[in-house]
Formats: sequence, C-alpha cells, structure tokens
Amino acid sequence: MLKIAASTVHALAGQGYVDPDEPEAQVGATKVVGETAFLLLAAMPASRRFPELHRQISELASQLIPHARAEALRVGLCMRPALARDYGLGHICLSAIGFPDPTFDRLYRQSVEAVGAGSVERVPYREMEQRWIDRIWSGSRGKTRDDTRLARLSMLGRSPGALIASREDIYAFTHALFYVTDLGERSAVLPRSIRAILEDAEAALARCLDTEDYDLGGEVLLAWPLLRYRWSSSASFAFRVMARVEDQVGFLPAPTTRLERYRQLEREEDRKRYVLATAYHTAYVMGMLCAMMLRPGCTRAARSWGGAKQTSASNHRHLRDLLRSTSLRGSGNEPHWFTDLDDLPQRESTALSHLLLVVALQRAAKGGEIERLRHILEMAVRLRLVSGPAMREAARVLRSSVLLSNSFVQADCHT
Amino acid sequence: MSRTRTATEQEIAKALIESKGVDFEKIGAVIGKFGAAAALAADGDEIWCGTMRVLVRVLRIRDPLGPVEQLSELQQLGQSVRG
Repeated sequence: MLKIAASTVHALAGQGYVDPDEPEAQVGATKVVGETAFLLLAAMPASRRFPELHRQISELASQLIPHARAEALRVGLCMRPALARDYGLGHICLSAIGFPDPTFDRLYRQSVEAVGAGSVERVPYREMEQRWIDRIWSGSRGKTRDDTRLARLSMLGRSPGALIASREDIYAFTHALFYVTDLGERSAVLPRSIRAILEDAEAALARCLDTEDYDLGGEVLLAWPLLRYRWSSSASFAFRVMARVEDQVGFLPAPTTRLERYRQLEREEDRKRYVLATAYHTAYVMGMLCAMMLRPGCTRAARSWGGAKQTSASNHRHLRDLLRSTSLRGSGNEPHWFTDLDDLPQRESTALSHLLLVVALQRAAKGGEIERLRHILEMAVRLRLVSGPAMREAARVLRSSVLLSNSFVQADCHT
Repeated sequence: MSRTRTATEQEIAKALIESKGVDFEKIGAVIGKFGAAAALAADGDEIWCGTMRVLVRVLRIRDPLGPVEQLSELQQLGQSVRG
C-alpha cells in the first residue's frame, strides 16, 4: 500500500489532478499531501513492531517533505490564516512522526495565532478536525469541554440514518470518530454509548457493501479498531469482502475509476495519473484500516465467526431469495459481497442474517416500497432479529405510512 | 455553486441551440403564464427578480457511486497504481 502512496506522491503531490471533463476525478495537491501525511501518522504506531514498515514510512516521509512545506503552502499560510491548519496538516503530521522543520513551524504558528485565523464557520466534524490538528501539533492529549460539546453536535451524537443515509452524513460520522479518538491514541468521551454508535456503523456498512462503496465502507470499519471494540460478524465479513476485492484487483477500487475514461486517455502518463487520482483515497483507507488493526491495543477483524444469533439454513436461504428479489441491479449482477456470502461455511453465513435483513430494508426504502418494508420486518420478527436502528426506522416508516394513508383518505373525502 | 462551463458543455449548449431542439418560444409562453404571479409571490426571487439568464439547464446526472467496474478489467490498472 505504501507503494501506492509513493506513486501518488510522485504523480499528484506537485500539482494534483485536473480534468475539466471528469470533475469527480479532480483532486488538489494540498489534499493529496495532507492525506498522505495523515496516513503516515496513522501507520507509525504499527511500525514499532515492523522495522520494514518503519523504513518505508521514513522513506515516503522524505519524499513528501518538499511538498508538505512547498512555497504555495507557505504563501497560503501568510495570506489565508483561516485555512492555516489545512495548509499545515502535512507539516504537522510529518513533524509528529519525527520530521520537524522549525522555520516552517514559526510561519505556521504565526498564521494560527493571526487575528483572521478564526474567520471560517465549520460544521462540527470539521471543527473537531481543527482541534485534533492542534493536539497533534502541541503534543497534548487533554480533553476539553469544547471537545465534548463538539462530539455531541457531530454525527456521533445522533444517528446518520440507517435506512436512507446520505454519503456526506456517513462521512461526517466516520471523521468525527477519527478525531474524537485521536486516531485511536486516546480513549474517547463519546456522546452516546459505543453500542449505539456501532449499531449505526453496522447500518452504514450494509449500505456501503451493497453499493460497493469501499472508500466509505473502509472508513466505517475503522470504528471497531478506533473504539477498541470486538469486531462483529458483519464487520469481519465486510473486511473479508474488501480484502478479497483488493487481492483480486491489486488495489481496492472505487466507483470513480471508470474504464471508459481511462481508455479515452492516450498518454500512459495521463492514464496513470487518472487511475491514481481516482483510486488513491480508497487505497489509503484500506492501508489505514490495516495499520489500525496492527496497532497495539486495537482490535482486529475476526478470521471466523458464528454465534448465538444464527438462523436455520432454510430461513437463511429464504433471506437470500428475498435479497435477490429486491436487487437494484438485475439478476446475475449482484454486488461483490454476494459472491463472498456464497463462499462462506454455513455457520458463518447464517450468522449474517441480520446484515441481510438490513440490506433488504435499505433496498426497499430506497425504492419507496412500504409494503416490502413491512414484509421484511415481519420476517425479522419471525427470526427474532429485530434490533438496531434500521429496524427501528422501518417500524417508524410503517407507523407514518398509516397516517399517510389516512391523509389520502381524508383528501379523497374532501374532493 | 457555480463553475466555468467546460468545452464539452459549451459545445453541447451550442449544438442544442443550433439543432432547434429547444423551443424557446414555447418555454417563453409557458413561463409567461406564471411570470407575473410568481414575481408577486416573491418565491425564487433570484430567478424572478434577476436577469433570468438561465432558461434551459441540461443536467448531467451522474452516479459516481454506481457499482465498481468489472474487477477482472480493473486488474490491468494495477500496474499504474503500484508504480
């Protein structure tokens, strides 16, 4: 994975990637630099046990230094102190892993202490990020009341929505978790119970698996090692799916990498830059996930699972048929996780029935199929698997649908 | 959020106008029916009290989170990524 990071730095850290006809592929150099440094910081604790990893991190850090302290960033620090932490992220992370630069640091300090440094309004998780950068910079791990207040206001303090969640809200949820735990470095003061937060993570994971959104799915999986909690069957299964896809392709792909666009580009160099621009982030997420699992004290995905909440083989088959019938992509074109599900031994497969029910509910909700929601909930009741936010939301939709249908009847009576 | 039109978007807009695929007279007639009332209602004031320069929008609906491409085909890109 650090090879991918080295290629990314080489190809994109200088000028980013610009493609006016493919806006989703575009990425700025500052983002690439900041995220690479972030990855190195996250991987450093694991490298204490693996000297080769430590060597590779140091080598990559050396390549990154000229970009993290580039002239454009120094000018940015002078001109836009409100964005100081965004410009300085690469420098801060590199300093924290043993590559300081006192001259750049003085410029940075002047910028964050400038009068205009606070002149940007940020959503809670972005504000949490700013505080986290300050903690990395100062080396302080102390918790303040503001940290607690921000966590409560963030998506950790509320559910991102288990049936129909926006990608942005799940993203806010995962990032808030990075910062509240200092990337696993401190025990977090959480605004809700770990159990409630992980239930939301499971629902988000179901959505990510079913849409093959491994970029976000990998970030969601970080919830388990960051909270140092034992991985659930669903989380372990999701990790297995992503690892298998990564092994098959050679990198963990993202939906933004389009073969059509790749083939339109004629020059090999342009093709390489395109693939890196669209794929590097997902690869980094997988790298970060693996680094967290290797970190002392953090938890790892289970190699096998099973447990009390297993359904019978016939009920499980029934669930799979239900999922095939709710497919949003047509038969024979199921998402990757279906293949992995088929390959599981029965004990592990039947332990994933709750995940299958959540996916079925999410598909029904996406299609606005209230009758199907009811049918799936009834099945969950029969299987004694009614738990978690997706089930609660589905029940709420059914209750609302009664009011909805009454309002239609009243409207008919008035006409 | 506004952004500059790309060359392709400019080309599409030009081709649409030249093809006469967009009937501006009909659009004008339809909008004309609502214009005065809508202006008084003051909803959407940026459009109604502004210059009304945007008459037709061609939206390119993207689904960047559609499924991942065929894994077997993506394998060939692995070399680009790993360097």
